[in-house]
Amino acid sequence: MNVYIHLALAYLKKQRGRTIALVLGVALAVMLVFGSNVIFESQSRNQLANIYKMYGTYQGIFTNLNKDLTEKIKNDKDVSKSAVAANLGNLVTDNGISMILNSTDKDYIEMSGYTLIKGHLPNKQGEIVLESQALKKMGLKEKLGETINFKIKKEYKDENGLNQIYMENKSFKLVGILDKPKQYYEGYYSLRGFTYFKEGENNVLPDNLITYEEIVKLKSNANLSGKLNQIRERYNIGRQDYEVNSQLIAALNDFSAQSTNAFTYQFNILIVITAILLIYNMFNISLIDMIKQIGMMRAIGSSKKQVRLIIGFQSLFILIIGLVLGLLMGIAFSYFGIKLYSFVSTNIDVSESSVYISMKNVWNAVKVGALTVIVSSIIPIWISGRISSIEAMRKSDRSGGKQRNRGYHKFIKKISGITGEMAYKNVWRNKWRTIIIVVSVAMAGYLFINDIAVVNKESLISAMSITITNMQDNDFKLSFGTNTEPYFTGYTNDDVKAISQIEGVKKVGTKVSMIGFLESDVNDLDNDFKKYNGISNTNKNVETTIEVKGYDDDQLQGFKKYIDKGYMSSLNNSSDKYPNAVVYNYYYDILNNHKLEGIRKDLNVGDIITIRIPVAKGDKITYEEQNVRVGALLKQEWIFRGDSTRGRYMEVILPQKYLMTISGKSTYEQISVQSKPGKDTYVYNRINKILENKPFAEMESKLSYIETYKNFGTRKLKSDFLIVSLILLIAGMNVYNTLKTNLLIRTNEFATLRAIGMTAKQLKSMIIKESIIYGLLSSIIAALIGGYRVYRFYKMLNEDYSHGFGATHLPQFKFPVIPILLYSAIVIVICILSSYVSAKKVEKLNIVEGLNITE
Amino acid sequence: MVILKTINLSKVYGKGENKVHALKDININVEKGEFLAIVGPSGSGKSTLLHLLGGLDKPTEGTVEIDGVDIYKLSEDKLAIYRRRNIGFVFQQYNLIPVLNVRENIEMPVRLDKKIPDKEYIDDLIEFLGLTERQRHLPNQLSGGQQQRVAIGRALAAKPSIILADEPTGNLDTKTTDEVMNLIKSSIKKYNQTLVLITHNENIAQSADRILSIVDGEIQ
Repeated sequence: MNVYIHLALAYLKKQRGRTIALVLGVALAVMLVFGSNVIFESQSRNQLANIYKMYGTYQGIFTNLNKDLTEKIKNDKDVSKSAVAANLGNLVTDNGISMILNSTDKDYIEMSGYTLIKGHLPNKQGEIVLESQALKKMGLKEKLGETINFKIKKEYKDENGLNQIYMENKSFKLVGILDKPKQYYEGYYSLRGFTYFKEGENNVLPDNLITYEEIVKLKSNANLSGKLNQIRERYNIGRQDYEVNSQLIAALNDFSAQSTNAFTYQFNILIVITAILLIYNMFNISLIDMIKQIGMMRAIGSSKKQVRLIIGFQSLFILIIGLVLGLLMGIAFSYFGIKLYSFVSTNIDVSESSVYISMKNVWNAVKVGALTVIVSSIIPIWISGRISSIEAMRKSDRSGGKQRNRGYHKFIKKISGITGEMAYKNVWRNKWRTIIIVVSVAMAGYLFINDIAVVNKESLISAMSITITNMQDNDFKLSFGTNTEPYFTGYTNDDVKAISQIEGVKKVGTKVSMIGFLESDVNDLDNDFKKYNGISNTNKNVETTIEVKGYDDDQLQGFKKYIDKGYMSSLNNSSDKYPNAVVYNYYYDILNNHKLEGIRKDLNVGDIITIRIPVAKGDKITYEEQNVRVGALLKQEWIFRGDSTRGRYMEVILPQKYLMTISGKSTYEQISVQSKPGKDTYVYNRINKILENKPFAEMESKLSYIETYKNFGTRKLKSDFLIVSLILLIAGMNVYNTLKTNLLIRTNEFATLRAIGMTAKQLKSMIIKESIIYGLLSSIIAALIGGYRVYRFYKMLNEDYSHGFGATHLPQFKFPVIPILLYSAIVIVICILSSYVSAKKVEKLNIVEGLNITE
Repeated sequence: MVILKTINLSKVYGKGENKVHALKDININVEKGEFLAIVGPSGSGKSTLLHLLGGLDKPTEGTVEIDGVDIYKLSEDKLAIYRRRNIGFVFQQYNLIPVLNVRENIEMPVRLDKKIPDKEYIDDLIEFLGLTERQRHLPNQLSGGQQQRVAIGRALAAKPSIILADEPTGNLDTKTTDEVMNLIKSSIKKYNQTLVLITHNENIAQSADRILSIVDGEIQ
C-alpha cells in the first residue's frame, strides 16, 4: 500500500503545475459554495433579527372582524399564536395626520414590534400611548400627562349594509410612548395609537361600530403566504381586510432556505460543473503523462486495482488539500463578501452582519468538494485500470482515420493561412478534451451575456417597471402618504402655482381622488371578484370600494389612448342630468392567479351606475349617492401604463370641477410634474423645499425609481461578475494546462515543423491561433445559450405582462450582439494569455532535442 | 562544383567534467549532385553532423556553407526559410504531421513558404512515390514504408538542392529498404539533387558516390 501512496504523491509532485490547478479547482469550488452559503446564512440571520425589531413577529393581519371570527381564527388549525385588538377608528389631527386607534393589548403591541420607551400602557379610560414618530410629525414634545385633542373617524357599515362615517372630537391623556427602530420609519409604515378599552364600558365609539383586528403567527413557516390566504378564504375575509407582514415573510423564506437561495444556487452549480470539467481534464492529462509508467507497472505485475489506487490516492490528496484551502479561502471570502454583496430578499442593510459559520455549511462544503472530486475522477480511475501494458507503451495522442476534406477547411485555409488550418486541425485531434475546454469556458457566457443584455438596461427598466410606467410622462408625482386624512390634507392652488413657477418645470397636472363605493346588485358582480372580496350573496345590494377621481383636461387628453370603448370627450358632454364617467372595470388578483379580472359583469358604455362619494359638510364627512353614466371604458392596459390603483379598486374618472363641487373638496390629492431636460435634480430639490412643512407629503421621482432599479441591478451584476470571473479563472486554468500539455506531447512534431522550415513566428502563430479557436468555439456556444436565455427572458416578460396586465407594445427580443462580442473578446484574451507562456517556450525550442523526443 | 562545405566544424555538449566533443574539426566538401554516405558506430557524431549541415543545431565552432552562404550567419527565421527552400530532410522516424493527410504533409514546405503548391509537380511526385491512392489518408493509416515515402515526398516538394537523410531505412524491412533507396536515388537523379545520407546499412553505403566514416566525432 505504502508504495502506491508514495507513487501517487511522487506523480503529484512531478506534475506540479497540474497539481496546483487541481487543488485550486477544488478549493475555488469549495470556497465559493462555502463562502456564499456562509454569507447568505449570516445575512439572513441578521435580516430576520432586524425585521423582527422593525415589523414584529406576526405574519399576517385580518381586519374588520367581529368577535366570533377572532375566536375562530385564534383556534384555527394553522395558527400558533394570535393577538386581538379592537379597531376604534382613526385618530385625525387638525393638520390631517391620521393614525389607527387600537385597544391596548400587550401581546398585540409586542407582536407588532413596538417597544414602550416611556411611561406605561393605558389602564384607564381616556389614556393613550402613541408612537414617538407620531408626536414628531404632529409637532408635539414627548411630554407624558399632556392632553391631546383628536377627531375620531370610524368607517362602518350600517344595518342596511351601507358604508357610513362616524366622526367625533375626543381628547386623550398621553401616558406612554412607543417606538420602533429608525430604519422602520425610513420605509412604508402606518402609525398606531393604543388606548384603554373594555367592552361595554367604552366611551370612544358606540359599541355597534367596533370591529376587531387579529394578528397571527402560524405553526409552520412553510408556504406562509399560501397558508395565510387559505385562512382568509376559509373565513370569507375580503382582500381589503387582509395583509401579510411581507417583509417578515420574505426574511423567513430567506432564513428557511438557510444555506443558499435560488439566486446563488444556480451559480454554485455552474462553479462546481466548471471545476468538475477542470479536474476531469487534468486527471485525464495526467493519465497521458503516466500511461507508460502504468504500462510498466502492469507489465511487472501490478493489478488493475493497485493501478487505480494510485489515481484514487491522488484524488484523495487533492480533495483533502483542496478542502482545507477552500474552507480557509471561503472564510476569508465571507468576511470580504458580506460587506460587498447582499444575497437577501429585502432592502435591509445587512453589510454589517457578523459572520456565522455553522457546521451544516462546513459539512455542505465538504460534500460539494467530495462530489466534485469523485465525479471528476471516477472515469479516469476506471480508465487507469483498463490500460494494458502493451497498449500503454503504444499510446499516443495522434489523429486517426481517413480525412474528409470539408468545405470549411478551405475557408479556414484561405482566411488564416497554413498556421490557421493546422491550428484548427490540432484543436480537433482530441475531440473530448476540446469539448471539455470549450464547454468550461462557455459556462460563464450565458450568465455574462444575459446580464449585459438585460440587467441595468435603462430602456428595459423604464418600459417594464410598473412604478415607472405608472409615472407616465411625469418626472415627479406628489401625494400624501397613508398616515393622512385626505379631507384635511391636500395640495392647494397656491402649491400648484408655486410648483409651476419653479424654473425648469414644463408641465403641472392635478388630480382629485377619493375612496367611494359602487352600489351593485350582487348578481351583477363577477363571481371571482365576490370570492376575492369576501362578498356573500346574502344581501341583494352590495357596496364595493372604488376610487373616484378627476384630472385636469390636459392629463385627460393624454389618457385617450387607453380608451377601450366610448370617448374620453364624453366627460365634457352630458346630455341629461347624469354626468359622464370613464370607468376601469378590472381588478388585479394578487393572491391567487395574478391576473386582471372583471368586476361588474356586462358593464357597457351608456349604463347608469350609482356611486357613493364622501362629501365634506362642516367638520363632518358623509357618503352621498350619485348616479353617473358610463361614457367610456378603459383598456386593461391602464393598470400598467395609466395613473392606476394597480388593480386594487374599480376606478371612476369624473370631470374634475364637477367632482370638486359635489364632494366639497378644494385641494388636490396629487400633483404631477414634468421637468425640462436636465432640470430634474434642480426641480426635485425645489419641490422638496415646498414640501418641507407638510407632514407626510410624498414625492415619487422617476429618476429615483430608475436609480433604485439600477442599484439593485448593480448589486446583481457585482455578484454575477464575481461568479463569471471565478468560472473564467477555473476555465482559464483548464485552457492553460491543456494547451501546455498539448504542446509537451507535440514537442517532436514542433521540432519536425521547425526542421522542414516553419519559422518560430509561424509556430507561435499556430499555437496562438489554436487558443483563439478555443475562444471562438466557446463564444459560439455561449452566444447560443446566452442568446436563448435572453430570448426566453423577453418571451416570459411579454407573456407575463400581456396576460397579467393586458400590456401591449412591450420591448421585443433582439439578438444580444454586443454582449456576445464583449464575451468573445474576454474569452479570446483569456485563451491567448493562457497559450502565451507555452507559445513563448515553444518559440525557443531546440530542434534537435525536440526531434529526439519520441512521445 | 562544391555545394556544401564545412570548415573546422566542431560541436561540444555540456560543460566542465561533463564536456563531450561530439564533432571535432570537421572539414568536408560535397559536390553538387553527389551522393555522400556517412557511416560510423552509434554515438560517433553522424546525426550531429547531419543536423549541423541542415542548420538544425548551432556549431560550437566552425562554419557550414551552402552554395557559398554561411548558414549560421542567418537569423533564426531566415535560417528556417533557407531550410524550407534549399534543404529536404528525411528522418528515421518519418516525423510526419499526424493531423495532415499524405498530400498535405508533402505540400507542407511549399505552403509554409506561403506559395501555392505546383499541382502538376505534386501529382507527379505522389505518383512517382506510388501514393496516388493514399493521398487523402492520415499517416497512421500507412505502413512504415509508405510513411517514409511521404517523408521523401515532403523532402522533395520544394525542389531543394540538398537532401539530408538520417537513417531513412532504419525502421524498414529489407524489401522496403530497397524500394525506398531506389526511390531516393532515382529522385535525386531526376531532380539533380545532392544527397547526404546516414546509414548503418553496408549495401546502401556501398551504393553511394563517396563514403565518409566518422568515429568519436572525427573523420577517419
